[in-house]
Amino acid sequence: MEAFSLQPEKWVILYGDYLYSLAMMKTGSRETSQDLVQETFLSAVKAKDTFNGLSSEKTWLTAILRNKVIDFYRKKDVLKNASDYLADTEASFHAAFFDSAVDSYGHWRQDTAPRAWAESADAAMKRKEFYKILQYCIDKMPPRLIPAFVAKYIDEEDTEKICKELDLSSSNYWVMVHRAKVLMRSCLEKNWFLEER
Amino acid sequence: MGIYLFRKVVFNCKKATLLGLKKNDGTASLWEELQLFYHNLYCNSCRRFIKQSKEIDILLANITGQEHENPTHTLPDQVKNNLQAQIDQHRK
Repeated sequence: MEAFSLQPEKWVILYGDYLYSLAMMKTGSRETSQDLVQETFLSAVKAKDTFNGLSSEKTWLTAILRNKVIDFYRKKDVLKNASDYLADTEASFHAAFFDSAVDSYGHWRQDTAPRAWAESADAAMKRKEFYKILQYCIDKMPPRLIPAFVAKYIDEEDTEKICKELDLSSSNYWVMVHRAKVLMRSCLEKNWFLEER
Repeated sequence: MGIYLFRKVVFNCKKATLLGLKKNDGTASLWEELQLFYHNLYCNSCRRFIKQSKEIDILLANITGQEHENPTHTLPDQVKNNLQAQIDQHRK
């Protein structure tokens, strides 16, 4: 198998906008994203002798950016006091989707229970406009839920690794991922899957 | 007590959907899987949630590739030139 090689002279053209877009999705801030992309390229070029050629240049740079984003999360408030944040927002999340009468057990509210979709996910995948809606739904998500959500569903890392990296207990992690998923499904349903195309 | 537990499992969609995600992740315990199975016997909505959730997973996993082909955001030219100049400085 031929090993991959690095071409730093083409990095900005080939991966600049790509890495910038990933950073925007994960942090929501232009300034932060530009800084993170810069740090990624500089760390990469300094470490270019350690590149082993087993993964592609793109995969390698994506992994470096991922670590930069996690460092950024650690320095910010998004990961702090997760239990307090989740406890404080529990009632409003519950009331938005589930029955909150005193005697109830948390059944879906009638108006938010999942409905049958007009278009399959397979068909949506092939449409460019769909990814705009997907972006929109990520942007709308509470910032505190983003790190766990992105690590699990976009970076596809495994649960144990994510909990360690983000310093989350397994139960807080699941509550975050669950909330994010309920919000995401509902947002996609409202803005895409119920509409006839 | 029996009835209370029964209701807690059968009617609690918030818990059932969370367990559904855990099951898809392969990290649900046997007891959690049993509760979910039991809940889903009665609950159409949660069965649907879990099915749609798996479809969404595939779409989400695709985003990285999409961003490579068609980036949502574009760095300003000036920033790009600046970045490449910095890289060039270090690569020699």
